[in-house]
Amino acid sequence: MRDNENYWKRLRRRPVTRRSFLVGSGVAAAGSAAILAGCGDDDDDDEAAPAATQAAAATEAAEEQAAAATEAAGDDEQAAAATEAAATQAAQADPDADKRGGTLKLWKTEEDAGLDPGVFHVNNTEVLYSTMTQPYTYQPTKNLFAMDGMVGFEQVDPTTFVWSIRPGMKFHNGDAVDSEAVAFSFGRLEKLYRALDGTHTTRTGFAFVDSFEPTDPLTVTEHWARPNADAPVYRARHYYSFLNPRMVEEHGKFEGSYEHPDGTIEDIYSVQELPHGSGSGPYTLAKRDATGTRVERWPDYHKHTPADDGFVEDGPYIDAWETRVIPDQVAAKAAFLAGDLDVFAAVDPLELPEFEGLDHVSVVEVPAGGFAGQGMDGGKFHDKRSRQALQKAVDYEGFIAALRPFGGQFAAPISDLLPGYQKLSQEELATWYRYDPAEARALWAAADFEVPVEKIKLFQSSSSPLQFEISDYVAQSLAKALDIETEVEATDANTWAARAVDRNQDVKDWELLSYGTGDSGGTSGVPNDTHLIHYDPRAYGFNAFNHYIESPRKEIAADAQEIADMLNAQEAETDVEARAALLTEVQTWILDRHWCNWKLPISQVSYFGFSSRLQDQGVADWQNFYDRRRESMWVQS
Amino acid sequence: MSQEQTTAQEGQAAEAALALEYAIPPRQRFNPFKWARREPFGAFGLVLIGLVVFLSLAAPVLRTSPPNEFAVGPPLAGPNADNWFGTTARGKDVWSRVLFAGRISLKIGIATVLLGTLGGTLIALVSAYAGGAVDFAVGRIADMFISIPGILIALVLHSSISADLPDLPGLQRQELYLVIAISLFFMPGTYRIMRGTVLELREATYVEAAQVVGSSSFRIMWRHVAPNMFGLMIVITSISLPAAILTEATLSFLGLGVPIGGLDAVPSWGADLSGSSRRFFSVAPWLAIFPGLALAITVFGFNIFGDSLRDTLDPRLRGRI
Repeated sequence: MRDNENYWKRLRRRPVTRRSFLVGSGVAAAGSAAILAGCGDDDDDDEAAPAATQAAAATEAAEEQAAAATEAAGDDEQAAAATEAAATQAAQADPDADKRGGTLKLWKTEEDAGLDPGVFHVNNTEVLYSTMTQPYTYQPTKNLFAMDGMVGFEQVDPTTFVWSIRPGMKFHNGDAVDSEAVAFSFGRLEKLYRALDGTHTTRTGFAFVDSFEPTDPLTVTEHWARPNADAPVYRARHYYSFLNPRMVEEHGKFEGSYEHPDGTIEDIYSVQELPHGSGSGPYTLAKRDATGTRVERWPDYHKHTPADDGFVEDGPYIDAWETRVIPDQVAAKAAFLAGDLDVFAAVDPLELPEFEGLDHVSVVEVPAGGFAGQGMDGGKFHDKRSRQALQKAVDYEGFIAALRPFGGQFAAPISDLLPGYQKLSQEELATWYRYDPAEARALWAAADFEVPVEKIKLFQSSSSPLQFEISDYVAQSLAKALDIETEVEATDANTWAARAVDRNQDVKDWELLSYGTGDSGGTSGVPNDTHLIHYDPRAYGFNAFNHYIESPRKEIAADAQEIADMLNAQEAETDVEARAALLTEVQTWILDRHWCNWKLPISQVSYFGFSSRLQDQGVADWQNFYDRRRESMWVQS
Repeated sequence: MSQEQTTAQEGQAAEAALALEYAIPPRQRFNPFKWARREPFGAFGLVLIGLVVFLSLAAPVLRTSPPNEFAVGPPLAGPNADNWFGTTARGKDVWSRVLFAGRISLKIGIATVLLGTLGGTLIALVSAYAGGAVDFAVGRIADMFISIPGILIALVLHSSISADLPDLPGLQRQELYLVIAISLFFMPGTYRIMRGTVLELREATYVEAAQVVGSSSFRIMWRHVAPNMFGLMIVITSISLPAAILTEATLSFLGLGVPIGGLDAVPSWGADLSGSSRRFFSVAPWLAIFPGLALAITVFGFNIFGDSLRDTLDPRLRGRI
């Protein structure tokens, strides 16, 4: 019977069928969406109406006031003069009154893992640059030192450096900022580095220092073991923030012991929570949790007299900074486009059309300056041939085509942002970055492996999708060229950073450490910071890549000593031309020895997005390492 | 004709009529065309499923490139003669990715539903038939799982066991994790439905008869109860499959799915709708349209086919929501 029935007849006979219900629901949903979409703009009209009414009322009131003033003054000229006088008086009281106030809205991908300026510099710089005082900022593009916590410095002789501290500074709890505090803050960096067996600070910035001596209440003298050309620039980094010794003593966490040259043992403490009173910067920490941080203006902040470039005599214009944790770049971009963020420093060139024609944001093109590196575990790749094989197994032209579609270039060990020091041409660099799978396979087969490498794991932070694409490209290239299994492991940035420098065992649980995206980046002005530190056997070469002087693998140990000596020599050379020649030798050595890690091609330019309300942000400072220390930036209300 | 003869003839005719009336009708051959006419939506769903299966399996010969290969075309190229569905920001071919991604959806979906439905049915069969404390305990465990959001279960499993799972033939570690996570999500629901059926069947006369003649509990469950659950199992399977595919896409969207990198990694529609692709959706809408459309078509196909299958196998449910 049923077989002879027509489907449509049967469908009609049903009072409520499953399908009719689904169809009805779909139609209802579509209809509702259409109605909502159609009515969406009405809300704005409703809001605009009272706003317009208010504006009209305000205009009317202003006219009435003006009329009353005119009447009271007797005639128009007198009224105008009175108005002008009042305005002049107001401007004299605070010429920057219209710039003061507002909240700077920033974002970061993860919450910080600690705030001690001597331990971490991951996801915490917005707090350190706002709540702490540094000696000064250094602006590489202008070769300018702008004084902050110091008022001057002097190189007395090649190994003696003297600081003059700004008088009248206080920590947030009222304690005086004096030479004892500054010497303590600088001196603890080496001790922390030793106690923790490596920190995120650039050790080459303080490894040459014998002592920091408080010579009088406002003077600190550095005594060096050997000359160092970069010391002044290093001191602009936030590691050298002034930290209140009393807070470390009262709230510090024991991290380990440090043995002084005379054999005495000192217990070393960190202040990862940065309790109130630790800093003396223009802001105090008002909120810090998993959703982000908020810093608010500290009313007792010292005067900057005279105010150098980027500083303001009466302290920063902006009242507060709010930094939201937004793990997803796409969500951050949406927030930026919606006007909820003031800076989006990761605009992909491919998405530029999305930003065009928007009045409330602007995109600025800057030299890229970033890096994209592949660090090799010296525990496995102690034989130079294995490292060379890895580098020859990556198709660099394909990499540029896939990942640098708007122009890519080979990266030298030193950033191109330091043209006074980086002298290797693209043609010269191309001779080292040559894809040759056959040679790579031969080198791999001939190489000696103390620890068998059956599979190559690339370990990276999950904070950047672009970095994952980079690692994936390298993994695929290695798999093809070396006929070996590869894997990309991505984890959150804090875990990644901790595991990257974990020294609990002498062989890493990864083969390659992927780091950097090779787009936006900056320079502190020091060749070591950008980026010789990645090769330094006393810095990342040691704690991240197992290429260090004390290595049990004799080839690594010998090479580490050689490169350390070369790095010391160039650091001690104060003549720029002579130093550039030494740095070319260092870079050539690194590239010839395939030392420690290698750089993938980087972008030629990168793009920063700023909200139109943010003024005088100093693009070059944002690009470089002093982005957050610019007190003269302000937000339009 | 004598009275006796007449009576005998009438008796034979009556017997013949009776035999005709009570005769078991000959089994009708399944006619797919007739079924398609009766269930046109179901047939359409079947065509869609067939299309998805064909495109997924035949992907390597359908003008595709390795789905994860970089720079197959220019970055973010719109649909064109060389790249029919356009390219990604890294020049990967979207057509190839959509086709190959069908494999992972079907594989995870089918494996999940088989495990979830079979597991749920088996547990229901044993616990409901055993009754008492066993039934009570299993019921509470199922209640517990139902009360925990599936995504939470997936997250916990991801952080706890996914790294330790082995690679199985045809099912990589991460795929196995997905199968387990999604199955755990479906199993308690299947158990609930099946338990009711077992309780009903347990009281059937033929089960009592089997008990009287001394059949073992295992034999009764296997020979008399389980076969009568088969129809319902198919119905549940057909309804769960699209939900499983969507769940896989959701987990991949959240970054808990299959590995998205590597030379041999198989893309997933859910993963392609998330990750770095999302930031280019407004400038390159094809990145969202084609994987989204493939996902929608597959789920729609399975849904309407499953609905018709339910009508066909269990006419009592026909027309009910």
